[in-house]
Amino acid sequence: MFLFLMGLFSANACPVYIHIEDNLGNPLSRITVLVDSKPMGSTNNSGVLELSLSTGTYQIEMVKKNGSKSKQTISVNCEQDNHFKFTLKTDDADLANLNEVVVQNKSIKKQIEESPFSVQVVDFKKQYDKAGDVGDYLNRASGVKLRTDGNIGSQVQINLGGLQGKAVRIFKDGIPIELFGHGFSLGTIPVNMLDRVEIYKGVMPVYLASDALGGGVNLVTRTSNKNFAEVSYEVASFNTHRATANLYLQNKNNFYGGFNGSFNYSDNNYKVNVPIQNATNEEFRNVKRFHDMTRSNYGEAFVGLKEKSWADDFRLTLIYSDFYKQIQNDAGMRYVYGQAFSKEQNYTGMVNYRKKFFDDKLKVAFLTNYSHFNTKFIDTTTVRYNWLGDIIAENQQPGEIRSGNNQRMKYNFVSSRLNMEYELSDRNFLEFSELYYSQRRKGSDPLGAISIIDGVDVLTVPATYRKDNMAFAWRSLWMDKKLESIVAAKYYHYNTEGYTTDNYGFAWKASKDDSQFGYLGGLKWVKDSYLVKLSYEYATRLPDEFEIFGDARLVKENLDLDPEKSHNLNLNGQYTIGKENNSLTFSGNLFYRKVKDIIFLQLDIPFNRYINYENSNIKGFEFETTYVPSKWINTGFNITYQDIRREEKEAQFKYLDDSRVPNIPFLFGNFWLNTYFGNIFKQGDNLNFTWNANYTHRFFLVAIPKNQEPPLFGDVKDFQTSLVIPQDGRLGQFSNDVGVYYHFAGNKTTVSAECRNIGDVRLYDNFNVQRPGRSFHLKLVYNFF
Amino acid sequence: MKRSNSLRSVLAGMAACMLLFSCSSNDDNNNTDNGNNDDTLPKNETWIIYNGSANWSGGIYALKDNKSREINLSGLPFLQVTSSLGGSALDKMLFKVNDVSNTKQGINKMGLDATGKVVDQGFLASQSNAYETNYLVAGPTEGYYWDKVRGGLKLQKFNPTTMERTGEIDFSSLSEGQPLESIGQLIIAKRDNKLYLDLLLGSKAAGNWQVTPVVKEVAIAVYDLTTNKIENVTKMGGTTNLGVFIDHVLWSLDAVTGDLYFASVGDMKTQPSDYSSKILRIKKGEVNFDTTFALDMKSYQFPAEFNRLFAYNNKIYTTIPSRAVSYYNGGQHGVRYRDDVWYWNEIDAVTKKATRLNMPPDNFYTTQNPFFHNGEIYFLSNSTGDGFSGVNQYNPATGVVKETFRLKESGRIQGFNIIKD
Repeated sequence: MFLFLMGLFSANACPVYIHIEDNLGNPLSRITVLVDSKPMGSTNNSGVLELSLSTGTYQIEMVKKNGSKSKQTISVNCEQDNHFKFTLKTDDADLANLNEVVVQNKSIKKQIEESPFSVQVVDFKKQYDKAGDVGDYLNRASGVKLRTDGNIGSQVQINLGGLQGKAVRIFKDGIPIELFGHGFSLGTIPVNMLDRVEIYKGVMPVYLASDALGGGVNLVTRTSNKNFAEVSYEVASFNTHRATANLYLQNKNNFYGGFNGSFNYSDNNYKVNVPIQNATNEEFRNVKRFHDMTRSNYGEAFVGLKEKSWADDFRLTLIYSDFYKQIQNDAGMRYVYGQAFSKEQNYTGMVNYRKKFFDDKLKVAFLTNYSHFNTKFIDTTTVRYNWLGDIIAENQQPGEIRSGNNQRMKYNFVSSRLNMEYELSDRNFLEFSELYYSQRRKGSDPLGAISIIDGVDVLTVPATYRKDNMAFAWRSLWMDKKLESIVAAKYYHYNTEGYTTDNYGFAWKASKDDSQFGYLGGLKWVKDSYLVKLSYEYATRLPDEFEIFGDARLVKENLDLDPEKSHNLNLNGQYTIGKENNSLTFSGNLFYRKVKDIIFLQLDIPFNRYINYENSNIKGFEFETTYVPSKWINTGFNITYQDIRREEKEAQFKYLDDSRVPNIPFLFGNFWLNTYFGNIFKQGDNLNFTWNANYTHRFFLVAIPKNQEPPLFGDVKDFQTSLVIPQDGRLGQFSNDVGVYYHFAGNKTTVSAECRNIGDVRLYDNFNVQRPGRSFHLKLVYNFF
Repeated sequence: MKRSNSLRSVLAGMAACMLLFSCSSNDDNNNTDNGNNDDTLPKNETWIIYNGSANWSGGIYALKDNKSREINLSGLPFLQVTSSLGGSALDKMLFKVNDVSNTKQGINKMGLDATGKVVDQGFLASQSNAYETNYLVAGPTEGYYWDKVRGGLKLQKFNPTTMERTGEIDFSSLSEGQPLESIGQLIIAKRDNKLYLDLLLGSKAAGNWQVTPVVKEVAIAVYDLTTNKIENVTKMGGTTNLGVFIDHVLWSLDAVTGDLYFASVGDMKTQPSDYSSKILRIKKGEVNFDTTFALDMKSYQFPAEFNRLFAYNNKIYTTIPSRAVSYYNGGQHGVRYRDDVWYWNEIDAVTKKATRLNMPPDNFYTTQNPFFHNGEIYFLSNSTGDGFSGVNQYNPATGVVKETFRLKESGRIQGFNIIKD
């Protein structure tokens, strides 16, 4: 099969962009471009022509309408983005003379980061030798804090600008990530699966139109413009194994196909310090976790066609993933479970279509997918365990976690995204994006959610949730393209149907329909070494089906829920001194959020429910410095402070007005040092070292009146608390990771070794859930071609 | 030269921004003096106040010289807890269910340090994961609790001073082989060196908070601590389910008459009229229910349940809602059951006549029972309509109600104890 595919796909090509402009920076349209004397087309109104070339050196000939020509040589490297900019003299007397040629190769990372939004791009192209998952790397980005409930396979949430959880939407290639199952999540994806991650802070770009309150993260799947095949395998502490396989093949007819897959397995049996009961009370001991095994598989196979008259790119993708996770403990790590587990299988089909119309003025991208999930959550045991893994009680009520679950669910999702951009002129663009999302859920749980009045297993009643998010924008370039502006309007709409026990049981199904408008604006100014950006969005998050209908058992419905809303403001600045191999870059971001109607789980007995309750104000800054003194070393640090304060309206609770919103890290940062040495053992080889350090300042789990807040670096004096992370008196958590990476000559094989948390310090993310101590990772990456 | 100027500008700008955002005003850091110039305030008492925010988290405060009739807790030292529901006091020891983080089931012990602040003093863990660890502190070295994992028909013993489990009392002989069997899950009372424990034999339906008894009745097992034997199991029909919460247990010993009272709540899901909520009695010296006595909630309001209980001198102090309520039905929970409907009443045990006490109603019913101290009975109320969160005291001899204190912008009151010097 492999040989067959190899035969089917031979030559490789990648997109190459030829930009032609006059010496005033104006794009020159209708310039005919010949490559090695072969006509390839003309530049569009933006002065751009997109070509498809394979790696190599080419003669580029530019021919004006009057027949005047000019030639240049370019080198295409399909491992990089290829943008070549040519400046032609526009002297009326001599239009055809090539005055100066400036060749630029602007990466996608740089293009995105120079948009008016507050955005950061984590580029994984040079990170495929690194161990661990994507989450480990996002955590090192400025202003980003990931929080997990343990190790591999645990739930991960991202904090951006003080907002987290559902406020931050995560996408895979623009589609909500939940449609790809737990097999593709921040806690399971090895870096080899992605090309890059785009982190939008506070203001979401139009092409990712969605109801995100605090920003979003777009995981961009690894793809290629040339044939390649790569496998990787990582073995690590706690019986952890990860493997990835990536394949891309394309033939001369621009027919392509490929595969991206990953496998994760871990016993997650790292040691934790936990209470073990004896005859009289309990004692704390270091024991190995015994019921936290996680296994996930993810595979996507795709075929497509490029550069056809009817499509610039048409792709069909089939995805299978599965996920199995044992559940060891609760969020406070007080309770230990020995048999509960969750399991799921996901099947997804996806169609992508991209095409430019009207002389490349109109760009259309459409993506739609259908997913079917089968999930299980099984907690039926009648025995109880202690942290040693011993059974300490038998013949108990079924269920270790609550009152038992034997939940089997089927989910069907449909999601579509349409993005369009129309070029009104070379400096004015209209953009439109629409995301449609539909979810239908049906299942059963004989031990779970039984409606109070009718005795109906509420999961057997289908529940649906649909939302439609639209955005329409006008983007303009000003002042010689040094200034870019964007204004956009957004519309959010959803409706949902589900089970309710409200109204004395007379009505057992109910529905909710709501909509909301939003808007954004952004400005970017770039000149020489300076980059300044200002962006604002009136953002919205729609309540989801669970928040509206609850689970009819522990969480009751609230059909009066309103969307969460937030005014998000960002001011970004960047200044660079020097050039590529000797540079010093400073970047900073000031941000402000004013959040209203935060959806809050109101605790009660026997039911909790979600209500619109809290308002908060967030002020913060991020600051990052990167220093590259020479090509063999780079270093830097970032620091983030986010002052998240509650706005209390009720007189009764006024004592908590302006108190810090608890259980969110508010001061954290990273330091890194990377070295690159070449030709160590053989010509062409590479030996790299990395050191990454992470610091998270202590944070409190429960609100403290502002006038009793301890100083940032001072002791807690006015009150006694153990509701703080970390609990052991440290001011913060400081951990260090080191790694060594050897790239064999020929760039085919890489071997790496890493030690995470070398100090074996106790680390916590959520409540008292302990993260792994010191771990060792060994990884092999092999590129076939 | 130009470059270094630019660099300086950037650094200065960044530093200014960092300074701007990192400095927070601390001007309002005041240690509240509640103005102790009221001579009517008892000087030899320490008030223990449990306050709570919207998610029930809060602090436990001790006020001695800074007591006031209007208390602003802002700036006062406290012990921080995730669930600040009130507890019980024995001398200078304080106890409440679950640990300070409220993630661990068991009994938490607190006390006052040398400076008079409330501090955490130990925890006795239950092996159970469920919110069901009922307990009784009977003396400095005598305590009892229920731990389903150690055995539903076994009552655990502990030492409240050391907070160590000291053994268990086995009631397995009372088993009838039901799926859920418990002794002392919701009622652990002690009188005359005898324990009075609710015996519950039944099963729990999926999604139901309560145990459904196999026989529609309530039962109390009497255990003689002198002979270490089960002396009796007394049963009574017409109602089910003694007790409901472990935070404020539904039993009370009348310190004057020696009678022991219990409240049953019935099936709160179906609220059957023929098995309604009742207050029952075991008279002094008896080990059987007084079959001639029952206060039926139906006589005052229906459907509704008794959910607080304190008895003193043949009078029962409890709340009676001003309109029908349902724990499960009737719209979104927290709207009706948490309305200002729970009025404090005094019910005459002889005439069964209920008299509403002149104090704000309560809308937050999972707090402590009333208690007697120094000739007065103290009641906790949170009332939205009255804008009141605080305590009132009632003199049963004179019938006078007086406001003990109210909290000012200091959250909900969720517990109150008085410690005497």
